[in-house]
Amino acid sequence: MARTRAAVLDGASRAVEKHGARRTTMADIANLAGIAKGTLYNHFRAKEAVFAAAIDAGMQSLTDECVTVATEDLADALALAAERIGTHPALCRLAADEPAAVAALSAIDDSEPWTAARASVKAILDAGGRDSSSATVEVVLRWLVSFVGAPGRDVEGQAAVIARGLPVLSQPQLQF
Amino acid sequence: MVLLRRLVGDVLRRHRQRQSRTLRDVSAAARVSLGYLSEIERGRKEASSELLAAICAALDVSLADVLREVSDDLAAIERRTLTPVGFTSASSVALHSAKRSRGAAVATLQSSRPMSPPATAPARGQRPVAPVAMLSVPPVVAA
Repeated sequence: MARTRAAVLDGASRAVEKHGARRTTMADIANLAGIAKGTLYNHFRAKEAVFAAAIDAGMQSLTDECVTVATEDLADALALAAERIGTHPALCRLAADEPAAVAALSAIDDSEPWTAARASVKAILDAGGRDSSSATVEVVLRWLVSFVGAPGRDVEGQAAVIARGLPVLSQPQLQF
Repeated sequence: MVLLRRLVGDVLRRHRQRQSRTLRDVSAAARVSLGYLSEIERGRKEASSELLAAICAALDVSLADVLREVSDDLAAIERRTLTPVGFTSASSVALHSAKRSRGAAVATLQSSRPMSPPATAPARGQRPVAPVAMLSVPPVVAA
């Protein structure tokens, strides 16, 4: 079950990389996931639902990775997130031939996926021992979103600048 | 199942942390992307021979030393899996107590972040610590 789901989400990402989002069909996704089309429909009703789930899963695994790295070095975690977002093959393909889709994808608002994204950024800042007030979270989120479909130059240098500028938690807040 | 790439990743990360270096620093020196280095350290990707050589050079350690540590770790794990039923290995005891006092453990982790060499890192040429530590822990009957 979980395995099929993982294969579907991976298949969706590869289908978008290959065909773009608009031209990807449920058959393409099933094909690249190595499952029957009927099986795919048991899990998802439409490709939009698959895309949403793929973005959600991708964000979750990136968050987990970055939280681990942030306990050691926040700049590393930020650079990692920016690099992964900027070089994601499906997002790059989208940027190349469906810029409107990228624009729609990057429009930050208060909908559920962005609430999740804010929670992810907050978790990373918390792990890095930094202030995670909503203003700080917003700064980092907007910086990260700027990499959607655009690799960016000297990502590591940028991450270092951002990390240096983020307020460190005052000591008394550490509990012993 | 023990995966070789996970053990290799652990050893490489240990070396990097012992030198208090960042992923950015080592990935730049090894001319590999930070994301790729992170995946190798976590055992998600298999490092090619060329890449392994580049990372070892960046860390200024010999491949022979890295592989020796990997071999020692693997031997320790293989010995641990031979532990009789009813005995719990030191690592799982530690895990249990860490879980119980998770809040405290996190606080300790954060407070000691600037200099936190991993507890299990064996010094070069030293025998791995896990089996020795195992002997000093009283047998615990599995619940």
